[in-house]
Amino acid sequence: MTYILLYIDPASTSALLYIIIAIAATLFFSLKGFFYRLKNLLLGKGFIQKNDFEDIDIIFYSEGKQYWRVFWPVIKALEQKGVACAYLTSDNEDPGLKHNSELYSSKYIGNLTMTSVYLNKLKAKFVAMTTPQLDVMMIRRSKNVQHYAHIVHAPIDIFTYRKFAFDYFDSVFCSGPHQIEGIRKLEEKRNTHKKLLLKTGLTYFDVMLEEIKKLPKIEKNNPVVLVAPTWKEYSILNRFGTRFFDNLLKNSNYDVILRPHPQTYVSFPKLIAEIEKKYKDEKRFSIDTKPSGTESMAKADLMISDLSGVIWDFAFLYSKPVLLLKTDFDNIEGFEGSELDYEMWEMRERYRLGQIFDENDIENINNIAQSLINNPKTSTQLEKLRDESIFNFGKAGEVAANQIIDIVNNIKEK
Amino acid sequence: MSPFIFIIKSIFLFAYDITGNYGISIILLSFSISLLLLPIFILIEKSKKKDNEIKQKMKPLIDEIKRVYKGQERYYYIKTIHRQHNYNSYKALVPILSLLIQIPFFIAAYQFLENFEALKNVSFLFIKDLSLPDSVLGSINILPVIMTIINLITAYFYTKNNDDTSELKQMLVIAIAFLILLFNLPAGLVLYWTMNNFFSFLRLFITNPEVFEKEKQESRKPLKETIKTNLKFIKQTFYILSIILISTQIYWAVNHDFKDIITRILLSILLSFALTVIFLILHINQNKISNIFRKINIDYKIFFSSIFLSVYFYFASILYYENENNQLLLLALLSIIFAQTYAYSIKLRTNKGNTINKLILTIQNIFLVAQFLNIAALISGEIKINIFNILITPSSDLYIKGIVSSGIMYSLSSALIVLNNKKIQIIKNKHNLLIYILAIVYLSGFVFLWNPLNIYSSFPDNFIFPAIEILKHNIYNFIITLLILSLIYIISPTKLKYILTVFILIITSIAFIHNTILPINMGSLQENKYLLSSNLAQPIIRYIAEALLFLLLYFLFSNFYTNKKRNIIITALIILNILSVSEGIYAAINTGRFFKLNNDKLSEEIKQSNKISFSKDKENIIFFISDMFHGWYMNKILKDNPELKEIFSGFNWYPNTCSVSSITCGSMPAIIGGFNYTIDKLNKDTIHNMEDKMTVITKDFFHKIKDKGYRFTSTNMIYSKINKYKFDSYLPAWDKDWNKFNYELRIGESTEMFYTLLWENALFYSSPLLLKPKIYNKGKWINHSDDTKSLRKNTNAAKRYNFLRLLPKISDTKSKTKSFIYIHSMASHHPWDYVDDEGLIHEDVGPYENNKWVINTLAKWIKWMKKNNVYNNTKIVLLSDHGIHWGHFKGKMDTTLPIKNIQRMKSLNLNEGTLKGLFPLLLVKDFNSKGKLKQNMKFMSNADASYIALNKEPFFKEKNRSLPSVIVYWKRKIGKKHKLNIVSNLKIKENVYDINNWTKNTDNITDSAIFHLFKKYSTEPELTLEQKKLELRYQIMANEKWMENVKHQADEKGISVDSMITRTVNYIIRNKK
Repeated sequence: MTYILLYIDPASTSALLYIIIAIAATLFFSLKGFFYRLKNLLLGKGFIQKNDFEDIDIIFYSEGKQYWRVFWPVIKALEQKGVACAYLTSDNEDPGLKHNSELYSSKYIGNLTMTSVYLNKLKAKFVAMTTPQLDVMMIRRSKNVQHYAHIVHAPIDIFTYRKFAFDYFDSVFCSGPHQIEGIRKLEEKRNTHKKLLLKTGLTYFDVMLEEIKKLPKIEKNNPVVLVAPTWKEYSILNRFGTRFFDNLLKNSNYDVILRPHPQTYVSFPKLIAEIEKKYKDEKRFSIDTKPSGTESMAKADLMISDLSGVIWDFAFLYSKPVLLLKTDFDNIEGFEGSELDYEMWEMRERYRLGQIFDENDIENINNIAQSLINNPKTSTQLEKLRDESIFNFGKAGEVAANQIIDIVNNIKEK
Repeated sequence: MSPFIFIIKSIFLFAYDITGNYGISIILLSFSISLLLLPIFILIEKSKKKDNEIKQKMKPLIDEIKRVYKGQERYYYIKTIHRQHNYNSYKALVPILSLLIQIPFFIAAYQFLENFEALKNVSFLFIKDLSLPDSVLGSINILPVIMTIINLITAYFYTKNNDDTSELKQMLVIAIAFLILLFNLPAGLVLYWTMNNFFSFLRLFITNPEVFEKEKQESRKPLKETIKTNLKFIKQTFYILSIILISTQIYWAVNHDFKDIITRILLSILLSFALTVIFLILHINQNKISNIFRKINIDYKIFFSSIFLSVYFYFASILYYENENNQLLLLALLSIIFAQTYAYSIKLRTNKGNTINKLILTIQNIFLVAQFLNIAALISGEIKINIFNILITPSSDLYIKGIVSSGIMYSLSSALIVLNNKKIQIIKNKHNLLIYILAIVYLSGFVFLWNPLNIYSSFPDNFIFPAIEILKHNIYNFIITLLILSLIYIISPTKLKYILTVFILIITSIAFIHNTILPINMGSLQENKYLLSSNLAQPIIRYIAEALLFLLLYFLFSNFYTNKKRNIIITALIILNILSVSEGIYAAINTGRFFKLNNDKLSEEIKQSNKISFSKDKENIIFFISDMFHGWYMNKILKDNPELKEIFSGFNWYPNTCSVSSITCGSMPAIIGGFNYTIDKLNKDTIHNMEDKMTVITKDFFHKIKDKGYRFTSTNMIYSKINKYKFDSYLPAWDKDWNKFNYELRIGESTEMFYTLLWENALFYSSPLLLKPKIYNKGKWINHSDDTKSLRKNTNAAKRYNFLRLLPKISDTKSKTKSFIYIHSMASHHPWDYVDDEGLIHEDVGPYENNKWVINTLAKWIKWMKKNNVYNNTKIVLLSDHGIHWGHFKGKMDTTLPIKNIQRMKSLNLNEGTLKGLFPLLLVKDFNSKGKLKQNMKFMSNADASYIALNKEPFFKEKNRSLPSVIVYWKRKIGKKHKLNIVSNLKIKENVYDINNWTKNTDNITDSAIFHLFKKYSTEPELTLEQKKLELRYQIMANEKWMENVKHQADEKGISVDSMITRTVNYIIRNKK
């Protein structure tokens, strides 16, 4: 027998290939994680410098520049009382970063991931934020913060907040009694600890009132109807389109300003284009695309809307009536409201804003609008609703500042 | 564990004291342990109920969250809900806790009962031996099955009031896990655990009495009424059953002379009746049973997975290496039982209005019947009730196979229904095609091109073609495969496209894992077979792991799809492709033989030290020993190839030559040293062994030649430890420099075979375990015939033959001095193969063909000499050390000699075989000798060779020569013997072919020349370290067995053979000190 040996190692995909692939794959998959870890390591630890806000007891955190108006009145009031505070924001363009004062310092702390890293290691006596769901989502309670407060930034009920919005705050600066009612009910239901619920009000109303005061005198020939719909499927624009404006404009003497929600341009560009095209030559019709609606609202004698948040601002700040499309509210599954078994405040009180209309009233909408302009609900009626629903109208900043000082002082005594 | 064992042991022995029966003791043991643990279970149940309350409370909230949110947000919310309800997610493990508590006792029982000798050969009920698996149904053990049934009943009741099916699933998984775990364990142990489970069931009455309360028995209908309403069913069933059973009995009777036919038929009818009753009961309760089945609603994923598992295990079992594997078959059976149960529940829920569904359901019934027949055959075959021993020697495994395969078909048709009715969400995306193409390019590229290139590159010298040839030949396969796979994809419907893509990704991953991460060790590839082909019989656990890996990969990839992680897959595939291409090409280019073999190097000088140098103008002497060449064959060779007489011009052939001994070790001393060194004389020196003796003799020979001023070129001098570093040229068995001639001499594997084998090898490694045995096909591969003989498989390993073919290539005429060339060739030695000019090996051609080939091959060398004008000035002594006296050859070994008076051999202590070995070859050509080859009847010995080589004509004047022949037998380690046993010491005169001329030698030996030699060379200086190393190196390289070893080690360590030799040398030198 001859052994003709062919010494071939038949499994000769080299270990080298394996190693290279392993390294490549590892690199590829962990690059992101590594990057963040590195960033956290360098920035997270490094950037919470111990002396960042060492002597400051009160810290505000803002998610975006739109909330500056919520915090500013409080900060201003604190400054006037000689109390120092700090302002953290996740928005590089936050106007709060430009404010300068000896008693005030501010810092941009990066995107949401970075924010949570920063906030979770924060050291302070008191931290207030407009962001809900503390200790539920990314932002956890820091061990070194004694008191967390949520500042409510809308007059609305808590139904439309996402789940567990307030559960792990120590206090909530409420804008109206309906919020206190809801939160207490949830506390009971969930057996969570009783929070300090403060009758504060809406601080940004302070700012807006100032702005309104500063507005130049408006000159107009005709009464003005401001149409300010939401952008969703059930909105006036989507449901009725140009038919609505045809009817609104016929046989009437008022001007119409359409102020679409910015999202409408993104979601329904054709609809907007169609409207723009159709009323190009209609002198009584104009579209307002300015960032701030203050001017249009000041001009308007009546607002037509479909349960957008802006109706409350309009009614409370200007004491002018609202013509409201009757809508059933979205499904509240997954929101706080799903656990509350009564009608939410918005639905309950919307009738007091002016008048409700539905689909059948479209042909007649011009007459309804005209009659509301001619016979407005008395501003006292609206003011009554306002005073029932909003604490400390026009001076909420001052109140909030005092409440904060109280809280901090109580902590000191402990 | 010891306290547990103590408890178990005490209870068990106590129980045995009371009962005196080991089986009952095991039951009592189980009962006691259950009782002992009862309080704990009550506590667990309490806490569980509490937990359930919390769960019930949380359920609506969690359901709401699950409806609305997904991903991270959902996770955070659920976590918060748990937090608000003080619920710990570890509590989901409580049902397992009750199992965990029992485990220590189980392990203790295991350890105790396992080693408990007394259980051996103890029978209990139907169990023959408590220390072995019960094997009641052949390869199926019945006790674990009973245990599983009990577990399933418990699971049914335990979870009956539970809306959440997760716990039921958990219990099912545990039940199946225990079935697998305990299946082949001793019956005693399984009995313990079975009873444990039985008591767990009873425990439900204490801990969860509510589960039994709900269903109160409906009032039973009276028997008569039942029969009345079901009369039709009863009749039909009875008729069908009795017809089947009676016909089987008649079938049996036909083959058995109608023995007991009446009894058999009566019994058949009786059995039909009994079966009818059973079927009736099933029929009446059909609704209840189907309700239970209808309730079974598991995830389709699990259903499909179990079908996959059964298919996988079924084929793995069938394709298992060499024999089908029963364990795998059993696994297939288990998974198909699971799948089929669910398939049945699908059947119940199927909308029968749909035509396709209807069709499928009808086909399903056929499978079901086939399955039932197999089950029936299995039972009747295995229980071997004589009467129902219907079929020809039943093989249980055959029936189990039938059960499994029909079950698979049944379940697959259910799967069809599911696919037909369910709208599977398919994520359409354009990346499917890209991913698919990247994967198939990788797969077919790896198999046909890149892996073959890699293999080629690791052993380039084994191939007689450049690397590019692999690409040229296999690219066709590569492209065809790509086209076919792409076509399949293009014509597939969208649903299938998605599945195809995932499937190809799985195959890619499996291939990658098998090739790179966990290749199975098959040893080296020799010719077309793996050295360790028995490794194909992989352990079952690897099969299980691979099957699970398949599933895991499936879920992983389908998940990747939905999670928009396709980019990762695409990137990974691109990297994989780039790496495999670049690795293959890089390795191939690195061999330096990518486009063509490095023939340029041929023109380069190979080391002078490995060449045979002739002098053009001075004398050359060739001393060529052709081991075991049968001298008398020359007669026939010259007749067959008369042209040789012309080529071997100037030669004298001495047919009348006797061999100085019968074996190499006996002849070589005298061949090299002359008649002073016959074995009888060497035996006088009992201090030195044969190797030592041979060493001094060769030294003396070497010095004589050097003293005469010759350049000395030599192969290994057999049995001698002479220092080869002193040679002017040393010719090893094979030098790697000589690989340069591989192409020219067509040394290397057959080309076509290699193109195919290379990709088949790659395919083998890339394929999943279950297909490997099929691809390997016992070395026949995918489409090779069994006739390996027809394949070319000449490699440089056949070096003894190739060395002869190489002689003209390594010869030159550059020697400035006289040249002496000593060659000891094994080419003519058994086994008799040869390598033809095409490089083909002809195996086992027999001694004559082989010897003829040797002469003809040498003729080519002679032609070279003539062509280079070194023939005239060259003396050639061509001899063999002995003739053929043993060897195996399939054909007729014709070694007939013209011997007279052969009957005398017995008186000389010779047998026929040994006798034939004494007729060696001797061919001599003196300087300047001319004319055709002549036959010379002068009486000669092969021990004359060295004298002839070194002296001038006429060599032997004396007329009445009397030459010795000392017969010795070969033994193991003959070189280490100090003395060889002489079988016969002979003297021969005049004519070797007449045994009458042979007499016993009775000469007394007084002095032996060997002593003088030892004296002469005792003062030889010590070797330097470098010389020693060189010496060792040559020794290793000359020894085939050592070289095999070295190559294996080099293989294992992944280093070159050369450096392995260096390591070995260093190792030996270190350890000698």
